Amino acid sequence: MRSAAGPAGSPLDPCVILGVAGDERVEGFGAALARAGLPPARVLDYAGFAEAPERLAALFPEGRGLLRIESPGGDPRIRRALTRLGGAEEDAAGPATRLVPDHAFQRGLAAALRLARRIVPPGVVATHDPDAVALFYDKRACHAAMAAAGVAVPRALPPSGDFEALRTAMRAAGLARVFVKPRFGSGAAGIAALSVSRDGILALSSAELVPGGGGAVLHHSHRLRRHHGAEAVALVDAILARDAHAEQWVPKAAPGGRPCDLRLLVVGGEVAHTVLRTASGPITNLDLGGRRADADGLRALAPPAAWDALREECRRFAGLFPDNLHVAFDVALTASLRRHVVFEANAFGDLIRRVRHQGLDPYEWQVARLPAWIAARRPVGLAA
Amino acid sequence: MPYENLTTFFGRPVEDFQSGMEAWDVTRVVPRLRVEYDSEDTIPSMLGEYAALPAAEATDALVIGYWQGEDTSQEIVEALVSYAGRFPNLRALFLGDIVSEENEISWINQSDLSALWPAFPHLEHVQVRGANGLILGRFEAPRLTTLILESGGLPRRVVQEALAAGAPELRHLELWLGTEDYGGDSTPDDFADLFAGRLFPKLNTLALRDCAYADDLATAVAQASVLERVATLDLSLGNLTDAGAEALLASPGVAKLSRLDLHHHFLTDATMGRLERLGPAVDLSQQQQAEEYGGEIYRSIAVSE
Amino acid sequence: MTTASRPREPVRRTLHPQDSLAETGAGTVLDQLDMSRNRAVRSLPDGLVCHRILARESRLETLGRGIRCRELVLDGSAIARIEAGSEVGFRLSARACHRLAALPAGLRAGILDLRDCLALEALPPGLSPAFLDLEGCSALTALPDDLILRGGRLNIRDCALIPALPDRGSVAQLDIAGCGRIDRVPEGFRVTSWIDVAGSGLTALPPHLAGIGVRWRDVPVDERIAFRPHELGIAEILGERNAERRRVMLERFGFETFMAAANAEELDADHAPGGERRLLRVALDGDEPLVCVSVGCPSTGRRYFLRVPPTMTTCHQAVAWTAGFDDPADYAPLVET
Repeated sequence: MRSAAGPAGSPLDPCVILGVAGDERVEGFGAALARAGLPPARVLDYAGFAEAPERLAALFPEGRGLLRIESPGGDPRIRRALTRLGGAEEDAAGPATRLVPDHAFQRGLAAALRLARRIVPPGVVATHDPDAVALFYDKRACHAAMAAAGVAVPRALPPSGDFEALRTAMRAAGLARVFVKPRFGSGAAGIAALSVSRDGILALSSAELVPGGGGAVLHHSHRLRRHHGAEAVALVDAILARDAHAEQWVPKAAPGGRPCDLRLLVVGGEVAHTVLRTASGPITNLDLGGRRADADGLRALAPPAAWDALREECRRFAGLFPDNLHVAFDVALTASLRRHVVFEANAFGDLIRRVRHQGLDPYEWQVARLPAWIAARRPVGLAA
Repeated sequence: MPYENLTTFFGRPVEDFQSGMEAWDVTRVVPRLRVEYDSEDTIPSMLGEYAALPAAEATDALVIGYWQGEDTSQEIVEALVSYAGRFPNLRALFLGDIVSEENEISWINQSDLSALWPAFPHLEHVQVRGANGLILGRFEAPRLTTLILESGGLPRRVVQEALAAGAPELRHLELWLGTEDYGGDSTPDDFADLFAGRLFPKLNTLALRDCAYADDLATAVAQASVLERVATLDLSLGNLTDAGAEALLASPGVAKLSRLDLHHHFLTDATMGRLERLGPAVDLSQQQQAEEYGGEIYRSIAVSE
Repeated sequence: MTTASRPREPVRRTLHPQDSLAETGAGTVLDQLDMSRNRAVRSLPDGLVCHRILARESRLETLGRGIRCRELVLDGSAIARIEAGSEVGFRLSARACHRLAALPAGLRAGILDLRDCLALEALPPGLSPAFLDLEGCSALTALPDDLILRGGRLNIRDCALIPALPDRGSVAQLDIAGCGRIDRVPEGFRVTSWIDVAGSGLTALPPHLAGIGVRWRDVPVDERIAFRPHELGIAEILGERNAERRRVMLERFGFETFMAAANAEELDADHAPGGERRLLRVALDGDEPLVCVSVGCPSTGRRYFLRVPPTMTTCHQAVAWTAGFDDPADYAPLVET
């Protein structure tokens, strides 16, 4: 029997990245390969792949190697290509900030990954399982999967088509504060932190309704703003109309008065890079004013058992997806610091800048872990 | 204004009492009752557990933290009153140690607290966060030395109830007056009796904070005879400008204070310099800049939402 | 980091609608039993000790012997009997238990919530709760002579048969709205926060309650609105900024008197079996206009003045609107201040 690594050397040779040529992720992984003394990866752009998928097979002339799958990112060119692959035409005329439903884009991505899987030679190992990627991108389905696996998640509300329905569902669940998130989407785009009371409605969001032809259009403003009353209702209506997942707003730990959550990366079944994000409000995303901080700051405040439970839960859930090299979690300790809550699992959440784990950045760490991870996998098509 | 859950209260560290705990050392730690997002416990049920411990009788301070959803504090207050017999030594109560990540101050639903006073006649320190639905009632609190009502908008009715309190021992009165947007509809006139020195003979600290009419309030208090009684005047967190500061600068009563807290203000550097030379130790931190929006000048108080 | 003991894991049981308590023997100890909406269980096991028993809308008929708990919630259940000797330390809530006719002696719960127990005819001796809610217990003919209230609340709203309050006791809140037979508050009965007097027999605030809040079916009012509405002025009513309070002022002052005094505009008039009908309108500051229809009752000849939505343009339309509602007072203005 021939090992996946082969006598020629590393199992990472050849390495092909299906991603976005020239973006930070691709460059980052490439740099890590170089630092490990490995040959550079060949990069196939998603748009190029969508045009001529068979090119991918040709990049594995010996029928073995590693296919690294990367985030398609937000590049409009790639979005259009994948959306077409998903069976829809994206309106190319709108400005880049416009928030449009991501269903077709996500279908296109899933289709692309499944296609890639079929096309590559059977001896190639891929870093992601297409079904898992599709699951992680669907916030409603991912929440359900985490809940079914016994992961501590916020309580979810049934899907609501408009604010009134959401209000009714909140009342039935006894919740006065919820997060409303586009079902498919990334980052904080289109997310609203909603509070309701007998006297008022408040939505904190970076989404804004901008009057346009044929009604108001939802935009991602890259700036968090408080919307009150009818304005908040209209905003939430617009978010819900795009298909959204609503869940309990769990109070996060807020040392120094700054709510915080963690991005925690599990690589090959082990917790690796962790970074704390703190903000002046409930939305901690770094592009919306969240600040990075050392996770040890939070760890020092929490009971060790709570910290360990948080890490163990992420590790355990990631373990349900052994065909994914890494899973990145958004997770928090609650305000009491005694419990944890897992918000999201991300398929491509490993772009964590300026954080090292045992001296290595996330890409270097993955390069170091890959030989063992690959050895533990059967390549794509090599059933015994 | 960011704030954190209490780490100390009534001179001792605060820790969460958790359902299932079978002992508590009251001499070292003040218990806080709060609900977790995924727990079936309610604060009344946790209070019942705590009340069943031997520690309850010796408990002199209690903190009530986050309660869920749209609930008001009514069930909590009723539980406290119902279990009052188990807490014969309760001297300090914080109702609503809730930070904005849990619930915004102006969205915390309080309730009618009037039954607490007769149930806990030994209360010395009462602190409440949030004023939605808050009622103090007409009350006698013979040992009360500290009353703190934190809000983003304190209704005039509650101000009147606080000032009508039968609290002859009161030394520290702290009211966060807030904005009209959140129900803070008091005016300087509401404090006429207080300023004239007709209330609270032992008053030492007068804190009228987070006031959206800070200049008018400062002008009214500057000439008030109550200043002969107090050592500390706290007008912090509000929207004080030079206009109000002029009244303070001209007041002999203010000059004789030992402490003047004006932090979070809209004063000019020149006025700040004059205040520093006035006499009292003065806190002038958190200088704010007015904002212009659509031709209007806005000076926001520190805590409103 | 904590000085306290590690928490013990609470023992909780949840019964789904069809689950039974078959394997739960006598003397079981639980922290919580949640059997809300359970259809199968008729009685709890004798000697059950459970801190919290939640049996809302269940088919529980009797409690069982020697049940000990802190909190017992039976709202909307089929409970017909609570055995003597049951211990409920903190709170007994049995709202809208229509089969519950009596309670055992010796109930020590600090909170007794028996709202809308329509069959409840009497309360047992020996009660001394802090909070006692009996609102809507319309069959209740009297409060027990030895009832002592410990500082919380007595709510007997719409218990129209109750003739008098206890001679002593202390509450923060007293609700006697709809208690037409109660015309005094005994001097030994203290109230520290508010009293709701709508439709009670009180004609003035007793001197020993001077200074407390006065309410009219939940709306904070003052003594003049509650007891001397004829002293109110038209300008004062029109100038009232709080819409709920203004609604009570109008109701107390009398719509008809108000309309006459405020020079109402007549929108429509016609004749019906009860006599002349008129639709009148008065503009209100910061609120939708006050539109009322004045009608006569064909059988009694009495005239009624009913508030209708401001969109009404004819008497006929307005009367039809009122017919769709059991109580026209249910119509609340859209704009609250």
